[in-house]
Amino acid sequence: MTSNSSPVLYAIQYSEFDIKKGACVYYETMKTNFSEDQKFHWIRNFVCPEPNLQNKLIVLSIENQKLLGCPVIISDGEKYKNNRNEFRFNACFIIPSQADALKYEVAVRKLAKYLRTLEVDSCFLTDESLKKQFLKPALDEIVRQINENGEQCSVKMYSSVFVNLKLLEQRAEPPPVASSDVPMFCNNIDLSDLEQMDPMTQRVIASIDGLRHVNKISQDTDTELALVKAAMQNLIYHNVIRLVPIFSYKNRYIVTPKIQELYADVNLQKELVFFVVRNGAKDCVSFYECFRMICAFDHGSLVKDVVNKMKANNIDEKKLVQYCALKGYLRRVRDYRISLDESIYMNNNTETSNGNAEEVEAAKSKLKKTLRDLCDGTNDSDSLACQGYIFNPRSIPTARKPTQQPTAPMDSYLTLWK
Amino acid sequence: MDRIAFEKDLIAILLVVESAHDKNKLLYKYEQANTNIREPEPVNFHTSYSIVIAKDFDPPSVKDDDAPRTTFQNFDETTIAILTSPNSYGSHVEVQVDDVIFVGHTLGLEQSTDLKSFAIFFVLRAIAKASVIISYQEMSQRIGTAIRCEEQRVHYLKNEYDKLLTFIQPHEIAASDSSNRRQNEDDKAREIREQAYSTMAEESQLAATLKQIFTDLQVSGEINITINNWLNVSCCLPHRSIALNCSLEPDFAFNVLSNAEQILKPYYGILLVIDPSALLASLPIDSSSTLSTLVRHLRSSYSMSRLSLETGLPLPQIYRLASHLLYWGRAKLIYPIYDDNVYIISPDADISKHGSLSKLYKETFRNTTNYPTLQEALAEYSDAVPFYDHTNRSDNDSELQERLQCVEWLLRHRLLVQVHYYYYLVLPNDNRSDFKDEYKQTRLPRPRVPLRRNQYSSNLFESSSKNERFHLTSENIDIRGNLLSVNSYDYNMASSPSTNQFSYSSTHHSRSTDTLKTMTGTSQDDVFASSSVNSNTTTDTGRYASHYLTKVSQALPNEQLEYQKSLAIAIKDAKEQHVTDFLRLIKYFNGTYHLEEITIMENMTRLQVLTIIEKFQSIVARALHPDPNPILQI
Repeated sequence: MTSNSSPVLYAIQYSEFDIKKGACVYYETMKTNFSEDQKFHWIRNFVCPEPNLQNKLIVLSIENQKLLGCPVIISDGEKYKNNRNEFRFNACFIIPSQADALKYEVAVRKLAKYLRTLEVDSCFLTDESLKKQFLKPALDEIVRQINENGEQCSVKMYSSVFVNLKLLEQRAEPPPVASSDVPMFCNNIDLSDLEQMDPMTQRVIASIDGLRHVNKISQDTDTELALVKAAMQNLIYHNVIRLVPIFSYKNRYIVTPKIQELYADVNLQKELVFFVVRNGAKDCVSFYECFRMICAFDHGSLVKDVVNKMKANNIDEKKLVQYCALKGYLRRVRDYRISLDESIYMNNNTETSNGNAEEVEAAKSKLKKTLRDLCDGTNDSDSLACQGYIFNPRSIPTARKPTQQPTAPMDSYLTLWK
Repeated sequence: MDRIAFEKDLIAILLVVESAHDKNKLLYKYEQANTNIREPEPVNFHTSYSIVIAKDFDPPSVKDDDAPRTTFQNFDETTIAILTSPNSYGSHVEVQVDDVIFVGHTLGLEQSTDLKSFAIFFVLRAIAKASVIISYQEMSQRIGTAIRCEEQRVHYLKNEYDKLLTFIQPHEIAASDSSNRRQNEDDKAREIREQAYSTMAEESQLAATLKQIFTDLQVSGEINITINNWLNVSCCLPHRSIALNCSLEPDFAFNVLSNAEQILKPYYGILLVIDPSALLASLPIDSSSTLSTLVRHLRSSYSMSRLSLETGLPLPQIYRLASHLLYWGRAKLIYPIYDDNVYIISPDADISKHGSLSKLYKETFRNTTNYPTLQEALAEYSDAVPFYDHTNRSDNDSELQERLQCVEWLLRHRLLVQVHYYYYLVLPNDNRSDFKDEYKQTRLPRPRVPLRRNQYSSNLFESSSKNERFHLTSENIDIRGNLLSVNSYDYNMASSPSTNQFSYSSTHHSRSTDTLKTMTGTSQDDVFASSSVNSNTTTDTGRYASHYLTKVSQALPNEQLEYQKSLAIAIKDAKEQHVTDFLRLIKYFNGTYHLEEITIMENMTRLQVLTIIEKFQSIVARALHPDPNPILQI
């Protein structure tokens, strides 16, 4: 049991229903808040409750300890004829109150199920000698193992029955992956882990270089886009990669308050400096240069402007920008094109495009309609680009596929940088 | 208020009373009417081949949203009574069963002879956040305290208890009669019981109040009720005051809200989220008069210190009122709207054309001369330019006024965030962030051919090239060594003027050797770091450095000597007056103070501060980002 912080699991309390005494504790691995007579008197209704609470997870807390139990009732008129025709027991976990009960739920339920099966098959819990010989050391061992490695245990309970329990950390669902996102490793990965990954992941993981976006990876590895996205989502869940925006010299970025951490922590500075050195450079760059370069991203400046301004020879701007985006020092300022369809701007738009041939006209209007629909403030330029529309900074976005000149004037679109 | 989302976690409200003669009893229950009719169970074909899919191992969170409600409905009254039976009086209670959690606060009735304790319980979904549970417990405590007061005054609870019991008793007898009924009878009994609850709300005042509390909480997250037509209770759930698009963790935001007073700054301003007249009308009769004074004086361009002057209220009281308004979701904290402010579009703003905010904008600004759509209004803040540039274009007052209204509206709906300039002192010759040696050792391949390795005693130095170069410049070192003794003499005199003659010689000696060591260290670096900007720390720089070193060490007493020295070297060329000004401000250049804050702390104008900083551009990096104070994000 660790002394510095509160352990993962204080104790396991095994209690059962006795016809003479009512609910009572048979064995507990350690004395807890719940073992005192008065406290136990309060919780006995929960520990060995009436049938309507059986097989339900019950969580109670006293002071700074929480009790998790899943009461079990086995009804058998033959076997328990001396015991009101049923047998009630409960193996409760006692955990620190600030811990998340959801994490333990599966383990508590599984242990209850194991014990129930053992009891039904071989009277494990009603045979006094078996209980004494196997149950007590097994419970002790479970608590010891879980506290030791923090999440799981594998304990031999009786004859050939092994109890495998694992505490499940609740993790947030990984966000959906867009075609325009760029995956980037956030830790050094162990190549030996690679063999354990599924073939799909093995196929795409080599293409992750911090610059290629999901769409490109899918094309380069000749795999289906949806599968690549799923693989990426899986990797995000396991905290192997994180998503950053596409790098481009005409991107804009803004510094985030997180840069304060970088300024204060020498280790982070070292990591940054070692990362951003241009390949083949003889010397390491100074933090002074890097930091000034990061600070030069002020919402308005494009990456190429910053590069031209700083003239830092040994800094690889791609690495710098992607690294800072990964670490959250920089936030991409995305541009959203928004079409102003309800307004008067549409009129001169139709006039200019009158001269074209009928078929082209029809195709174009159809195309334009979809583009106009896309430009409603929910798609930024990256996601439009992934759908085949590219931006010309001087005019409206045009479709790449049919070769046409853009005819709509600039002012029917708004650009919002956010 | 554009929040119409219902309280998702709340399932039901319960009143349980423990009397002296009876066990804990559920007296009243109100749950949300089940709007969606439950689908009939699919018909199961029991064949020997059917596979039973185990669902037990699914944690509650993966089940659908309505599951907790069904779990709760499956509990009968006795079970609930057992679950809510008191453990100790005057404490928060929290009991979780499967995916339902019962939270409340049990209050003992020591003075009453008939009743022992009672509690109002809220039934929540088990995945509710810890902060949500706490706020419900506190709400239960508040309501409970009011009821207890009324009980002590006029035996309110006892009367209501007797009244409610008359509704329950017939059902209880029926229930105990048929201990093993069949399913449909059970359902029927339940139905009758449900009807009893609805009649209770009509007959009993307390039941009606509880029902009111439930609906109020669901709709607005606030209650404002009168217990027994006598005691007014009003409280709110703070997590409902936090905007839906707030990026903070709910528990963290709750913490911030509860301790808002500690993190308020005098230069923040208050922006009301609702109309001031509506706010004043909604205040209870016995509300603090200072609150209404404050609300009347509020302007979006006033900081709290200015408000303190205007209203004559002390600043701590303004803080308290501001955090109160914030807690109730009536106000948002902003930096006051000045001409110099820089706004950008918030990264999580909803700018879609078909979003609810777009519609709301059109309704709000229907007859404006300004922009007709939200997107056009936002386009103005698409580039980070000072607010001054926007206002400049409009000439007359009414247009200006409208523009201000527009900004207030955009700020209120979190579509804009303000960015500030932060300043960081970075030195080109800072030893702490000098990783060159380590880089060379770890990242670069070792030189393949050692150059003239045997000519010198190579084990003194790490790499042969270093070795060689060192010797090439060793002549300089000697000269420098001579100079250094002079420099360190100056330095000693300057740094410890109180040292008397007798102790002087010894300090001088030790210091000079120290400095010599460090100086040779740096010089060794300098020789190799040809790309470093301020690499000419050789020869005569030491003299200038020591010139400002005393001032530097006074301004930054906590920094290491090395750092102070490199700073002194970096500013050696500046004029004395500039250095004095700069060192006065230097404590703000660690990125935690923005320009506006510096001006307020030092009582200077923006221009003054900017001029000082401009002189030292090479060592002060400027970053533009939002204020990280979480209170501004709520």
